[in-house]
Amino acid sequence: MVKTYQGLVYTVCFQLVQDADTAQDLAQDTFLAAWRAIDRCPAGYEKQWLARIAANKAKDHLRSGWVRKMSTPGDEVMALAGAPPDQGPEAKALAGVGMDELERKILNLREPYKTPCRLCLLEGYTPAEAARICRRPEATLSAQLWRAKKILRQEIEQERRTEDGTISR
Amino acid sequence: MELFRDDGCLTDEGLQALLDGTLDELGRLEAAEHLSFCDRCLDRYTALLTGSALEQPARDLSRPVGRTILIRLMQNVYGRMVVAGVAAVLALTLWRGGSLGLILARNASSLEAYVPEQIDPPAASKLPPKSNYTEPPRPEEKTSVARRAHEAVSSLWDALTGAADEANTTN
Repeated sequence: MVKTYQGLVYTVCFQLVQDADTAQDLAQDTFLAAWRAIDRCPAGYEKQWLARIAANKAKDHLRSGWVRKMSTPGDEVMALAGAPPDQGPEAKALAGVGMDELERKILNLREPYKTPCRLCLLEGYTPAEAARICRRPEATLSAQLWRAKKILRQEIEQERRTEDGTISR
Repeated sequence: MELFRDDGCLTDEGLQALLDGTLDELGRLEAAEHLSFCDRCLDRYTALLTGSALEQPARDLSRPVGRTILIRLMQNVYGRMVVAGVAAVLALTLWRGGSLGLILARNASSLEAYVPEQIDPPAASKLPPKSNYTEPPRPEEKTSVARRAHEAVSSLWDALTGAADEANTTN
């Protein structure tokens, strides 16, 4: 199996992480995970099954890198202090804009963020309900929601800085 | 360039950008997330990964993967051997100290519950008329297996209690 599909698995990992050494490690992890779950491999779909495991490995790698990059100083302190999720910097930034403004911003978001944000932030669905509606895993939808809030927060802060600059001039 | 369509699936140009390596980090994360659950897009993506689109790793993966699997298997076997060894030492210590006899005697009634009983054939009066009756499959064999198991457990039990008594008297 390794000999037959190593090119495919390595290509998927490399195209997603864009680093040869990391792709090599992820491809190796993919085959080890496949070996552990070989009884769950659907017959005739080995290629898709391995590509999915590889995509999952790459996703976990990219997600941890993105979380590290996007975590701003102070976020960890809030989390350690056991602050409720509605008191985070994103929630504060979103609470600082009016409902109409927030709706406009959410509807201007691109997929895959627009639908989860519309359902959870505007229509009041829980992430579990929104995940069922969007046919996405709940963990994926929650991660997308988390990133969408970061994107919205950055957008709001950028606008405020621009407004402040205009006023001070 | 739009990476996703309105229905949430990857666009053709998004897939092509993934193949060409022109997506940024966030785009690659979004694509990886989507491919990890969407069967349709995974099928479209893997269909594109043929021939010259496939890249080969710098080092052959079969060796390191095989080595890691072997190490994990050996760790598993060694782990079981260690557990079995510890269990054997513990059993020997208990047996030598005479505690095993006491434990077995205390649990004798519950152990006997697991010994299969001999199955008696139904009484002749309860059998259906001969014309409709077909012989049940090999009841004698099952009974003899149960009897043999019962005899084996009984002899093992006798040997264990005898050894425990012997150990008690020598102590």
